Amino acid sequence: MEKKWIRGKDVPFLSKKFLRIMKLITLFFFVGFLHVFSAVHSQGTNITLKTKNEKITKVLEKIEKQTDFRFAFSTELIDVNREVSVEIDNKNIDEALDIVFYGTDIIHLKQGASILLYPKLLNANTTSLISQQNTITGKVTDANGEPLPGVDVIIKGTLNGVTSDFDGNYSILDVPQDAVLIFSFVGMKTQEIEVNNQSTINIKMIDDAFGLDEVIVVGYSTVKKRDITGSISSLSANDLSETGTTSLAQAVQGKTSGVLISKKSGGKPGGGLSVRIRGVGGINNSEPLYVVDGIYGGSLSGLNPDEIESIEILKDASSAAIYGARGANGVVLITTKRGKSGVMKVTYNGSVGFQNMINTGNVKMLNATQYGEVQNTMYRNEGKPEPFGGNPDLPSDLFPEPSQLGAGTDWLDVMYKNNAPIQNHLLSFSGGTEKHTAYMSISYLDQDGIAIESGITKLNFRLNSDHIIKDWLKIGNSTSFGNSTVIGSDWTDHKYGQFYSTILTEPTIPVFNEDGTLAGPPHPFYGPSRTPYAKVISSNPISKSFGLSNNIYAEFKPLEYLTFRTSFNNNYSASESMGYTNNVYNEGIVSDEQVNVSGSNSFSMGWTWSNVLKFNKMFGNHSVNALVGYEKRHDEWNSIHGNSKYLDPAYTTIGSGAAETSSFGQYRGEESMVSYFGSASYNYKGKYYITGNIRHDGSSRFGANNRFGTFPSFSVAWRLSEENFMPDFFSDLKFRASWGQVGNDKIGNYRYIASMANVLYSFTGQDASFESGLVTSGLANTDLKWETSTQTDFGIDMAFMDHKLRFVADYFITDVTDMLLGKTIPVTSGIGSLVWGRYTSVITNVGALTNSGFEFEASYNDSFGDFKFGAHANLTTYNNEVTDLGENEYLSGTSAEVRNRTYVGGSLGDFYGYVCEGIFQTQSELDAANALNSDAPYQTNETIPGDFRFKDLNGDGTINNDDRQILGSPIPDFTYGFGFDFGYKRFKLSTLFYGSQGNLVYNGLRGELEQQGRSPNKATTVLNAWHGEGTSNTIPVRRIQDLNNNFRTSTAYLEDGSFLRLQNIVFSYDLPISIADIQFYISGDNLITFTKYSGFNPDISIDQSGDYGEGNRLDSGIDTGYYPSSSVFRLGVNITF
Amino acid sequence: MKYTNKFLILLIFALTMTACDDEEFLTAEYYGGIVDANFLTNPAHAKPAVTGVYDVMSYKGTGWDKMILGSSGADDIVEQHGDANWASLIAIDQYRWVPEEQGNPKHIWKYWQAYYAGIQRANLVLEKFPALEGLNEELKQRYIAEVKVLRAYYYYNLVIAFGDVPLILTSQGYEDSINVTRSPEADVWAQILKDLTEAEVVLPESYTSPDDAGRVTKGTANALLDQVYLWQKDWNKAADAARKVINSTAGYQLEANYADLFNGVSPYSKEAVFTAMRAAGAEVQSIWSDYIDETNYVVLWGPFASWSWFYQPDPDFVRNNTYIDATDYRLDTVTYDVINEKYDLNNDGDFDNDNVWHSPPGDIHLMKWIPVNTDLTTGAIWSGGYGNVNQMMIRLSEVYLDYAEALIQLGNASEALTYINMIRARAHASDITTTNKEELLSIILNERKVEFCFEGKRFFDLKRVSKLSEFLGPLGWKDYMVNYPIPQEEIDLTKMIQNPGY
Repeated sequence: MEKKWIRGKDVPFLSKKFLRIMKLITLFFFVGFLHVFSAVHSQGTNITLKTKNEKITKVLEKIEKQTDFRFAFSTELIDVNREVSVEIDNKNIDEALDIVFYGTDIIHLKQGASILLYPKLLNANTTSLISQQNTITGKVTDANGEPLPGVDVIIKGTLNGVTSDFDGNYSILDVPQDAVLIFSFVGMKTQEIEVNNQSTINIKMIDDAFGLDEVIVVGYSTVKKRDITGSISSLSANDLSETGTTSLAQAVQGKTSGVLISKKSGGKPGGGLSVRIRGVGGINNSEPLYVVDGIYGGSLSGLNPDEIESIEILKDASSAAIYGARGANGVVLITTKRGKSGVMKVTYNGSVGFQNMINTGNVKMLNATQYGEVQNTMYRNEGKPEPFGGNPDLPSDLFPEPSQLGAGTDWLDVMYKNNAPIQNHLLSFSGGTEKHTAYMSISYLDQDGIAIESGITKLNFRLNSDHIIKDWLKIGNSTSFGNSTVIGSDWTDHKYGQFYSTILTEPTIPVFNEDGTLAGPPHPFYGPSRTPYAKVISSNPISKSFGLSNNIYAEFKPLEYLTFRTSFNNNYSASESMGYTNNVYNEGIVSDEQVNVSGSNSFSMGWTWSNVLKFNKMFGNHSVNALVGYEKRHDEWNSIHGNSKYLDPAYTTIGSGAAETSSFGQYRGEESMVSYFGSASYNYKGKYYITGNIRHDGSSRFGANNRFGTFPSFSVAWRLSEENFMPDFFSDLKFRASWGQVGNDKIGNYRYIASMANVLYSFTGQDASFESGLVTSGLANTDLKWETSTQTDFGIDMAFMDHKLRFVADYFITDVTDMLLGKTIPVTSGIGSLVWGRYTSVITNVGALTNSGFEFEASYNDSFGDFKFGAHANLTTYNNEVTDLGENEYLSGTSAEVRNRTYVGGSLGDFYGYVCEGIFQTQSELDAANALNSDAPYQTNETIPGDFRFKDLNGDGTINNDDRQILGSPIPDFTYGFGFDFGYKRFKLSTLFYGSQGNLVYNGLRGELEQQGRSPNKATTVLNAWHGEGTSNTIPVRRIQDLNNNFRTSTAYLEDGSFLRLQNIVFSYDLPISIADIQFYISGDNLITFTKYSGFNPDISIDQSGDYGEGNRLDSGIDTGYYPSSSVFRLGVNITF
Repeated sequence: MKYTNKFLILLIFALTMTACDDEEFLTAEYYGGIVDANFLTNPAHAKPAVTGVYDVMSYKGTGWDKMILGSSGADDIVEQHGDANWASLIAIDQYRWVPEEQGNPKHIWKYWQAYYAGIQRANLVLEKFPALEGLNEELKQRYIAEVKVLRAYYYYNLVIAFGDVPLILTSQGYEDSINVTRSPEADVWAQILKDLTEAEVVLPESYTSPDDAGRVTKGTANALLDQVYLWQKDWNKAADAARKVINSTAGYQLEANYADLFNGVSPYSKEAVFTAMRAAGAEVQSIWSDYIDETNYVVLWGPFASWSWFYQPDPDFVRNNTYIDATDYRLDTVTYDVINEKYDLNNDGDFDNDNVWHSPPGDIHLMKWIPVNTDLTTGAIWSGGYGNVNQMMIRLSEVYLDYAEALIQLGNASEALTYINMIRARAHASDITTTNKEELLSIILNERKVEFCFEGKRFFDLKRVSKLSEFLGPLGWKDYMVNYPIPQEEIDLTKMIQNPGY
């Protein structure tokens, strides 16, 4: 039996009718105990019914099921046990009720969707019942303490009820002392409170996480959760804020199925997370589309989680297709908080915390003594004089016996700090009148990096308001403004980044000289580069950015069922960065004498104009929603950058006359998009659903031949739990199926053009006398077109035990065709960077792949007296198969060292290389291998016992390129998340775990730290390097040069990257005071990682790849020494009054 | 709400749907300058297009990497102190040549890349110039001839290092580029000859303006022709071509002082037949690196440069050379022997503590292309300039030796001796008198080794006269190494087949 009323804060046009009903109910309250049947069904439907000796209540229920009406009556006044036998054939409601109550004095009075039943004559007994009653008053608030208007307060077993007023107050007359009050509100848990002689009952409504009537945003429109036909994950403000984290993506991680979040840029402050919806997408950028308050673009990083009302993740094509071209990788819809009518609510959320690098113990570097010993071992192995301790060619003060070197410098300790502070504050004001509401917030983040001399501060301001001007016109705005300042010497995060150079710096090099000046490498024995500390301390880069986004809308309602919404967004962002590096130094063997001053300024602006006409109407049991829309978007940007060099450190600006050299540059561009879209959905009685979407998009990113793409989708759903034949065992049961196409143009701008590059050549050979040349820098592709993703989804939603236990499962298949792929151009064609000696690629539409998998989500929530318990879990499987690569046999990544190859039948970015069989333990073993092929040595002529032995895959007795094979995949088999919530009275404990299983990581960093070669520093594991038969089968003998090429890509450095991480734990306590809601919490992020991986962090983003971390999915899963992630402990408070 | 209002709203919606021209709206303006589609449609593009073809001569691939293949791969340069980062260099020096070079830089790869970049740029010019209107016809023909010589020079370097190479003569799209195959060596040689002979008749003997000092001339074309004919053992034609250079009205003559060829004091030497020009501005173009940030220039040269730590003259060649006369100063002037401590680096009157930090005792450093005014204690240039010494790729002394070799083969030993002895006289070495053919050929080979030491010619000289095995065999060279391997990446990306043995 359903207990929902037709009403709701999100359906304002129904509220008048509702108020009329309530007036009527109030008019009739004196009739005593009323009984409520309610249902949400179509009015105006004719009734066909046949009963034999059925109780009147049963008959009424049946009528409710067929119609939109519900009955209100008093059990005292109507004989509910009366049995009737009727036969009604296609009669309207009045005729039907006349038949049912034929022969009684019961009158039926239709008022809106309610039908009151009462006897013609009220007698004295009824009035006598009234006198024994109390009046109960109270205030209803939401979980945050905000007054909640419009909450239904009903005396259990009656229709006697009121709604809370604008300030959340209610007053209900004549309540029996042993009565129970029922408080109900859309999207919140219905609560029953025993009266027990109380005259004041204040109540806090709690969001119903499983509220099927919760309204969620699905792209240009909203829909009740129960009516969703696609695959959508939804997270509310509560889900997000409970973790106490300051990063939105981190708050989402592990909470929903089908969403894979991994570190994009290690643990750096300000570093983002990479979000993948349902698998790895295509080869190029697979970030989902972010839509914030209806406006495309942007990312999660600028938003404070506390500003967000809800996040919807549209996972399948039928949901995402309304976003057409850009929805191929799923859509993340973010709705920020808006004001609610009622008294002003003030909220403060604040936290302070500390960050620490984690898993640093996984890799230990040699200290100075160990370094000296290993160097000596290396030279001794080669039969050369040992450098440390009495080498006549080396100064004895710098090269003493290893034992005298002590511990030396721990560079990780020098460059990174413990307990780096982080603080976050958000103050918001929300409220308004019935016609005017507003939300305003200001937030501030101050985060120190775990690396020295780095940090970020961010200030954000937001104002959202809504105004009902006429009953047919509503306007409003969403405005946000933010600025941030990032300081830090080296925010790059790749093989050549600061972390990498830090751990590799030799421990025998001091930080400072004895006189306090900066030290450098003391002898040519070491490489000629400054210490990482000197580099950081003598440069002072700072970048500031500012952004303003303003969205205004007007919503017209010319007809009851027709809405036209036009909205215009304009956004501006500006940033500047300044760098000053004092390179006037003389440190050890390295020196320089110039100051490098650099700077850049950029400005971008854009607008989006969107117009949508919506139609919503019920025709009896038939509900029809449709929309058509049109959208245009334009962005333009310009940036100017420059660089000057001076001999005097006093110069700190660019381009002054004293500059030794100056250079300047500019980057300017624009982008446009046009879209037409339409959507229609129909459902019958909330049981059978069908939805169709279509979108036609044009993008300036493609050449004139192929700018437009059309993307359709369809979905159907069947809610079995609405069927009469279904047992009550199911609280909800729905089958869903969808099919659709979405597009992808994430290739950057102007990629169909090949521009000519400028070069300089001097025909005179005299300095500063150049002529400029024009050369081809790339290849054009004017036929470039949309990548298309065809997605099919089958899903089932189930709920049991009054929604306490919930289960969702989906199976999805995504076929990506015409993949936009940067294909490497051979340098034989003359295309490729001569300056950097790198390959260039051309973007083409080539090949196809399939992503498929299962998603499961389950949750259970229950309470036992003061105890509350909740558990949730999700799991997503990934199956990626490349099905077509055009005429290519395989694709390689862009790294200098090819570690991945993608073949048809394999998955994207499979690892490719040699199979390492361990180490040659004896000379005789080596001799036997060398004897296998008379023409060539087994590996090289320089291979010695102690070197790796690679597997001869083709059996020709010698190891060459043909002995490489696919070694495994960087894509996980599945990822999962699970968590538990425990509540006891005012205490609450939440945990969240996140894990990934079955992905391989190429531990290139370990390769560097264990490889042969003189420099630089190595990991302590090399202390156990091979030094005789049977001493090691994993770490090769120490040699000055890697003459066996042990470091080639092989299984030796390929590791299982599976991990399980305690993502988040929060312990909170609500203060028991009445003037304000105050909650204290302590939270920890990223506390423990369980993994077999031997590097710093197994959470290598699947698209963090290439030597510079900028490759595509073709060379992924390679750990080249990224910044480790950090744990965060926070102490916070939420105050609302 | 009135009906008129309602319809007004619907009208607004309808208007917004149709109000603009989508195609125009979706055409994003490109601000990045000239794009390939309109390149060489304007006569103003002509000169920059030709300059682009020359530009590859300022990169490492045609500079140091050429030296590594020709000298590290031979017996005048050895690798020292290398670690895994220089694995490619070590492998070349130690005759562990593999298609998949390790470490970075990858010398074979960069050599291949630079010359093919030059060929692509040349092809574009040769393809589009005929239709280019508005350009002075005489200048157009000269530009075309210049580009043909450059394309020939680039192919020449490819064919001598790799044997069969793809012969690409038109601009390529992506599909063409991945379907590329190797053409027979003979076809490539034929194209080189065709380009050179066609260009030779058009090009001027010399240019009047120093602004054109770096351009190729009739002399360049003939010098290259002479070398191509030597490779083809067409001694008559080789001699004819060399003679044209020697008798050119450009007035080529030997620089009086051998050292001045490399120390920057004579930027427009009359000995230069083809020069890779090096200049500094916002960047320094040097032999050693493609793009040197100017702040690093102090460590660029000689004993101070990081590559110099690895790329060192063979001590055996420098210290125990039995061929060279005691009076011959050529090796002395272009090397710095740390044992001999020839320089009082710290100006304290003795040779104690004068080791440059990069130079442990026993090392020998290359001093070719070190500016004369370099401060040997720090590497800094004392005054002015950035020390980017122009590098002569072909000079008159080489044409003399080519000519002498052709004459010897033709039986004219006496005239050959004239040219050999002119070079020896400049080197303060004694005259050669023998007229025995085999002896003279051997002398020429030695003379070339000393005269062009460390310049990346030795391997190719030995290859041309089929003496690789004799000289390099003892060092570890194997028969299949007559050609360098084609970079594995290129094999993987195209339809090319690897040289045998790799």
